[in-house]
Amino acid sequence: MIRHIIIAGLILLSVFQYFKAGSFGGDDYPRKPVRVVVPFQPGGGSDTFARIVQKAINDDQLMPQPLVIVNKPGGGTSIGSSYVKDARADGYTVLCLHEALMVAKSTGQSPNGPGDYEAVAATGEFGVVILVSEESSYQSLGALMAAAKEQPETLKFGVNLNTPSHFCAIMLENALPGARFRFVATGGGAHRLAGVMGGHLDVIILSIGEYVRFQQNGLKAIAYLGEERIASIPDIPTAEELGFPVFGGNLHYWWFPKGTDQGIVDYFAGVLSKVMKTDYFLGKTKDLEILPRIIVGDEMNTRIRERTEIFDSIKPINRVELPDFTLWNLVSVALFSLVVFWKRWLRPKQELQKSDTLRLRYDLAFGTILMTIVYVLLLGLRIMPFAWATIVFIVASGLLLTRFDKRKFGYVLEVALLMSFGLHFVFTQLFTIDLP
Amino acid sequence: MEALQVASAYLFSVQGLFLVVLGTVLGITMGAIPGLTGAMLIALTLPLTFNMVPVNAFILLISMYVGAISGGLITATLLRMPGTPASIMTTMDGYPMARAGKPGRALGLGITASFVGGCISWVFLISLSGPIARYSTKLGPFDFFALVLLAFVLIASVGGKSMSSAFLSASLGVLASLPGIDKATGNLRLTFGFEELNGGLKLLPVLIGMFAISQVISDLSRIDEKITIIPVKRTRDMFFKLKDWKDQVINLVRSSVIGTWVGILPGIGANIGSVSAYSAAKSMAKPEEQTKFGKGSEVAIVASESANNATIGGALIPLVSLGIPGSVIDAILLGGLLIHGLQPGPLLFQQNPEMVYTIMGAMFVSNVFMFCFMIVAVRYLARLASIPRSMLMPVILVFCIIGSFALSTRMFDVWTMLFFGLLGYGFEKMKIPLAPFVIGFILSPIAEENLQMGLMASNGSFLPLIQGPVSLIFVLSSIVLLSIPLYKRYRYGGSRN
Repeated sequence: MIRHIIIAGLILLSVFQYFKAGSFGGDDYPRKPVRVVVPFQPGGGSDTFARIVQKAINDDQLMPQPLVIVNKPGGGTSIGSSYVKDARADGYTVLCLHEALMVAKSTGQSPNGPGDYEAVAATGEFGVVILVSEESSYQSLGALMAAAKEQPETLKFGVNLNTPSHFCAIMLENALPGARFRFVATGGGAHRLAGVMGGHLDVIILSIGEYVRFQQNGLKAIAYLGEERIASIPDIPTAEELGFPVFGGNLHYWWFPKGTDQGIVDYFAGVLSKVMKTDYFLGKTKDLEILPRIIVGDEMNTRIRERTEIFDSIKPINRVELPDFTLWNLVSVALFSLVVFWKRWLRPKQELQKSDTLRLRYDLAFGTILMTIVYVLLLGLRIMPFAWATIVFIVASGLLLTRFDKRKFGYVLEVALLMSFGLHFVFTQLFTIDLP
Repeated sequence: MEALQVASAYLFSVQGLFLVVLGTVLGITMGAIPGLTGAMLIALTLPLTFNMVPVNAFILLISMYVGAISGGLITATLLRMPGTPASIMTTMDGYPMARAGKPGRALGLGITASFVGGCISWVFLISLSGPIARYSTKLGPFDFFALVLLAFVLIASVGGKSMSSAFLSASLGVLASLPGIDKATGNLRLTFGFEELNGGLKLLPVLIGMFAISQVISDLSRIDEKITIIPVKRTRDMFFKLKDWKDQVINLVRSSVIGTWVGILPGIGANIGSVSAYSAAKSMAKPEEQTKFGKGSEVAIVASESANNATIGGALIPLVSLGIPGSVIDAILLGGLLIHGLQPGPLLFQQNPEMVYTIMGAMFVSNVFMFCFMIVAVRYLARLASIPRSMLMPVILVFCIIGSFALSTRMFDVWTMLFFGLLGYGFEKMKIPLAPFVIGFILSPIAEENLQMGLMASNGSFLPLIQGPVSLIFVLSSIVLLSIPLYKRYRYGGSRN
């Protein structure tokens, strides 16, 4: 009895919550939370930055509605950028992405470029540094570049291919005609660091924030690719001072879908410039070595155009012939399929052991899976919201699996209500997870 | 040391201990219900931890791991159905002993052995991972490539009955990992024009499909299965007496060490550890004890259960020190580290030492809690097996959908999950093992990245693979492991087994 009361209470509570939620008032922007799409996994540099902005806005109430971060990693940022490009231009979906947007477009990894969006602002500049091991025989950028010219394609330079880090390295090559590195695709910063520490790489590029974190690992920064020296690490010269005018400074840009109202764009840019002045933002970015800079309007558009031109002029080519893994893999799949096929079907069969006398109910199993597919269709095509579709699904599959036993109908309904409204409550109120 | 304080502050806070309790209890519960496995639980929980602090997320996940491996012994003993694959060997002796009127004794032996196995492997975990991680920063891309190669060979040659179907499964897993952006050239491959595939197939939908959906289909088709549970009364013989300790101490240590080492080997996990320790215990037992194996031998239960729990600590060693998963569950945890923005690999110790200490600490605390909880609650846990599947399965399906949707909030991942669910069920029907597929899926990007990195650094030469001492050892062991079964088969003619 008590069990039933508790369950009934839980159901009532979540049904109440469900119907209480969908009401927003007023007609000024923003009337509902603004979703910030970060096309990287949680925890990375871009995600950290977006979350700092989010907290600054939410804590200081710089906007009447909160920001919500949505991570859409993968596809060389194209999954996240496509999502925002295709979103409604109502100001409630915004992309936070640095120069990787331009780089991904000019390398063909992503179909989306700056022209597909309304740029809002460029915020939070973060520079990159060139690093070698403390024991390296090239203790200055000059020595390194001279060696790269003398013996082209021998110095191993760890980069993430076709990303801003790779482009910085190519710009460095271009600054001294004849100098050529041997690029090694190393992926993220930690891998590059391990490579240079283990002596497998000669030189790497890291963001200044990463460098500060890893400083104690026997690394030496030989140049900073920015316009002026950094206040907290004043003894690292800029590349320009050393005669190589290369700028790798990158900013986090904010992009609305094309066609978003200019008033909304300006409003959001205003909020972002307020963020740059909050104590929370200043404190956090100081630790991460991000400059609290904001560029808007014409200055930003000029910068976007100039950087895009630079990236378009660089055509990275792969200098090492690599084996074709897809082919290797397809050959091995074909080979082992043949072996298994030969062993299973073409050889005389050993007698089958039939100890299992259980009657297998494929009808029920695949009936349920079919219902699941219908359920996913209902959700995917947005025919029904999550809670209602779940009730339908659980009642239908529960009835099927209990084989329409009337006595069990009460339980089925109980589970259905708990799973639909209950989960809706748990995932929207307790955890903030997007439901289908 | 600062990191150690941070980790223990998290772990011993009210929230941390609550997560240990929650994780362990859920793990034991899932472990005890036949058809629900630890891999499934952890794959489904991972999306729910997105918004948690990474350290807390891992306290929960590691506790689930410990609980799930331990819970399997309950149903193995009382139902003759291993709750998880790790407890298959426990079924052989636990059930006969329970049938013979000593269910409490059989459970008690299993629980204590699990606890001791966990503790011994934990000692290996804390003492070995640090040095291995420090040493492994010297390892180059070719060394990592050779290590992954060894993992492939291990899972195929040691993992299952048929090497060729294991290799087929692994190759298909590699195939599933290929679509998306080629890291070395930056070009798209095998996406067939689908923009959704640009990011490749995601780990979670593939895993949830392979382990959860395929299991749900197979459980649903067996919905008429009758379940009879041997009732357990509270008895005194659940606890080890001094004499038991004296009789079992060598067996406990031996089995735990075997379990730990099997765990360390990349790719293979608890069930292999348990089988190896069982056969070692059998061959080293006195003749009169040997005859009891399979009929309710105490030595056998202790060997199986201490070894399967010992693989947990063992398998975590390569995970935290090298970023290479020691078992399928560790592969999910590896994905979890990535999702939480942590870079698994030799530098995890330097960058996120608090995470390493949390994983170690959570394993120990959860192990202690598992012991207390199982001793008290084992009699009631057995009833979990009688939860009607008609209620359980739709609920699990809903969780599977939420879980695969949550990562990138797109329906494409849900379809991916359903596809791999059907594929996984097809694998089971064709008797193709699932574990190599998952290991292939997870390890192939690691292998490919390292090989490409190595080749780019060596200007396209494969020679460094056999020039470095470490990679040479791995390559040679792979060749030996591969050729022994082939040689045996050739030697003894086509007749297998």
